[in-house]
Amino acid sequence: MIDVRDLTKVFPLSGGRELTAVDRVSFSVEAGEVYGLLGPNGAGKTTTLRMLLGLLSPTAGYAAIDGFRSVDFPDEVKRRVGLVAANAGLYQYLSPREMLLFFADLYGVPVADAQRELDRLVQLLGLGDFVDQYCATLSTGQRQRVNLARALIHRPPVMLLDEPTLGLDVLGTQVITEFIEHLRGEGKAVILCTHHLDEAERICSRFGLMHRGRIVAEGSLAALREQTGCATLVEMFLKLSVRGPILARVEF
Amino acid sequence: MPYTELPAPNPHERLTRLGRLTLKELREILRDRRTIVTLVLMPLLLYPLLTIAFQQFFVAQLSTVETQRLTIGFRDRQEGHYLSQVLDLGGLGVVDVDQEPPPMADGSAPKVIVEAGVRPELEFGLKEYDIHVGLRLIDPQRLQFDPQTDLAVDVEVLCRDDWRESLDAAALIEKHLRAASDKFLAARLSKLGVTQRAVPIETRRRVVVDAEAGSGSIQIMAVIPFILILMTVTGAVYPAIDLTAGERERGTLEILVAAPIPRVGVLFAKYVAVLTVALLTAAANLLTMTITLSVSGLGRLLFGEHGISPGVIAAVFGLLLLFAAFFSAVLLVITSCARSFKEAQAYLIPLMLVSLAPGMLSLLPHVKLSGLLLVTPLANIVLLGRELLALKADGTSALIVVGSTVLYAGAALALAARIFGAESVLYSSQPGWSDLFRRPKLPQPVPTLTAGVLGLAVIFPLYFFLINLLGTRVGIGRQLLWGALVMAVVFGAVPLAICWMRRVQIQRSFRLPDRALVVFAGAVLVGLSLWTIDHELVVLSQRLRHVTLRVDFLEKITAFAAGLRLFPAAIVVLAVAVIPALFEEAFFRGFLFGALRRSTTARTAIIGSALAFGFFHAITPNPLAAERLLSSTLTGIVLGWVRWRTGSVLPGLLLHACHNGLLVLLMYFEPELTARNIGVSSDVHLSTAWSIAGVASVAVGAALIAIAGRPAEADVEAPLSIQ
Repeated sequence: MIDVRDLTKVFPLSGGRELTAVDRVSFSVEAGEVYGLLGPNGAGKTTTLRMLLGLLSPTAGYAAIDGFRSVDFPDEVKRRVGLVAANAGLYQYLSPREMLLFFADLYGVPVADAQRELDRLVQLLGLGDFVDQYCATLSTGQRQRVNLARALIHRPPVMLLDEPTLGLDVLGTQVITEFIEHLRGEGKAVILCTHHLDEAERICSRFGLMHRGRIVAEGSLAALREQTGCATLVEMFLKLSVRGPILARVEF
Repeated sequence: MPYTELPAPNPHERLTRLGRLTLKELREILRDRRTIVTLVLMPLLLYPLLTIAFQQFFVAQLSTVETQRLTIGFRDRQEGHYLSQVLDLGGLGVVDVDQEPPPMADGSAPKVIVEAGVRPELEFGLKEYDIHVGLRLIDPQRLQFDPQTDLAVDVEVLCRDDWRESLDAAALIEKHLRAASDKFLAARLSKLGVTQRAVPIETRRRVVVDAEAGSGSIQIMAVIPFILILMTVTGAVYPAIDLTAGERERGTLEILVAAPIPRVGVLFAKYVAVLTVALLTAAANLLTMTITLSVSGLGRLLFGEHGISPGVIAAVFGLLLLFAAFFSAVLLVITSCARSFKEAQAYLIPLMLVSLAPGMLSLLPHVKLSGLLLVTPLANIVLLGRELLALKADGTSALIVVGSTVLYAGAALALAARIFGAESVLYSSQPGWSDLFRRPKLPQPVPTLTAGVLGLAVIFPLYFFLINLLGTRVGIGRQLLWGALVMAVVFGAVPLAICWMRRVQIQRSFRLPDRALVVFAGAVLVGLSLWTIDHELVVLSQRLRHVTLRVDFLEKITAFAAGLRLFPAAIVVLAVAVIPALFEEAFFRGFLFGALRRSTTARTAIIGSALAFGFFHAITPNPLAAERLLSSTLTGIVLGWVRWRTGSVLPGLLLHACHNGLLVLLMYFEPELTARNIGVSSDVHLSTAWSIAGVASVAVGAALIAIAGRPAEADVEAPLSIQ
């Protein structure tokens, strides 16, 4: 369902310098699979997702969804993807109901279908208490649930979740985590970028550990344990990204 | 629920979706209290305050002002009595202070009342603003006033030079003292038996343009649209920022561009929302201003006894609509580049200052709506507004102003669509202007719609400016050379530059069509007979507009034709027929048609390019330009159809050159043709036989082009996607 090959993004900087944000990244995700794209801040996870969706043009390589390359068929790709970004906002003077129907319209969902899907999502994500309030009045947890519903209103087969639990309390995080399990059950291909490594360990079937724009280890948890010699994702994360390339040069 | 493929929306669904997008934007922006404050509160506060200011500063300049009272001070009663008599002889009646003057013969109030009183200390009276002017005799002993004897009286007029009314009063007194002096001298000379009149050489100044009735009110007329335009701007600024830079700041821009909808569609919905708020602001301002003018009485001073009429209100609203259409698009270009409210505001301040300059310029009474000002953004709208209020606007000027403004708005919107949601605006820390100039990586078969509209917006004003630069007082040779040069630069170099920028392979439009001989034969036949239909349409337009050809126009045409005969016919045909045909076809049917066809249906591309073609011919410097709108548009439709049918610019080029060449040769050889009794006047219908022959030839030519069929590769320019 998701195919990424040698995807590279180089940003020009002032003074003629360049920053390689993503460096020859390759992976694939099948339907019904939750893929954890993990790494420290600045590793290139978000840039990879943006290229996958066609919001950024790759410098080299390609990303494709359902056979459609994001550079050549951006609309076909966008139609198949639901994006939940950590910094995604809501329209302050619209209610969740109005906003969800608006996005359904953007994705070309017929009005009657959109209304049915809205009712289902309200039920599923527990939006009933605030679905007709202005978004400006919602709490962080409520806002993130609305964001999830917004990404799902057009019933996409692919979900890109970029830090969906950022800023949420334990209860909020639990709701989202359970919902990702539900998405897997629906047969969606999901890419999850998160810093909640214990949750990722529980939900994701395969992982790609990114550091400085490159995937430094990839596979199932068992494969990663074999590759890294570490028992948990936290240990791998520290070994591969922190102790290895960065702290090895720091004197303690 | 499993994923299901959604069917592609049809045009009707696209339109209704666009409507819903617009409603969402409007709903969001109108729920914001800041919009309501600008919309309602500002006009309620502004117009009463402005009315007070107008009354203070402008009413004094108008003809129907209150009676002015000037006070003269005399040293004592005896001198006062004497000097009042002298002034009375000079035609100035003086009354005592606090005494009402006698009514005028027609019952109206006098413009000036001169009252007099005794002030022993005249200087003190002036210092205290007690009197406007002081009068005293330098030799108070000689008070006789009898034509039987010589008279030599010296009068001192005391005034303040820092008080305009004092200076006015002094000038008035001096004028009437001179008149009294002249009368006395005339009486004295008559007594002495001299026939010479008192003032041998007398001048009379005659004011041709009445300043009070003219420039004063005209300036106020220009101030009114200017204020309304400024208020309309204030209404549009906040929504424009909120719906573009605000999206970025709120974090909704990324999820918006992640949806599979063309950016131009999203931006158009935002444009309609900004325009609607701007128009609501304009309507609120217009309503409040009308009510304020009516209640305060200023409306009667400015617009006559019946005040501001519904026709004037409608005209001004139409003008504001035009302005709002233009300015909303410009605002969206600027605010789409910004990544925050603060940044957008920083960008808009220079724009506002730049916008004020042409607006202020147009407040000057001697600035007229002509020449380059016709196509200067904002200034042309303010000047058209001034002429509408003064009921002096003419149709051709209005057409140029409206047409050029619509083009500018379209170009601005196209630019905004390129910037809105672009990579550099979404994710870069650098300003987003670079997206405007970024060349695509792959070659394009035809220009994008954006490039097409941009080309139109650059080419029309540039052509208008350059072609009028030379004037008509130079020789025919220079006119021909300049016309060809301007055509080559504007319609050749500009589209080529845009094509280079956008990597467009424009040469693909110039391929040889299938069954070229049949197609070219058809094109020649249509080109040589289309003039008959064109001619009938020009005559019809003249009749509809009740226009008759003026003698000076006919003389100009005759002189132009005679001038052409100084050059060989081949040179004339090349300069006036072939070169314009080449470059006009390259632009209208090569560049513009391709751009329209890429994003729209063939019918829309044909009609759109024909309307642009017609508008271009309507703004050319030609007394019959407005009448040519209909006929040129029809020619444009024919040429557009040929372009679509053959998939090439070349047959249309041949048709166009034949059409132009025939008309030029008819003009060139007019004396010979007239000698053989061949010819037709520009304002007379053709005979029925000529009309039938013309229509039949066009039909046969079109049939030849039609039977040649459409080449398969012509579909290369079929709609791709809206850019």
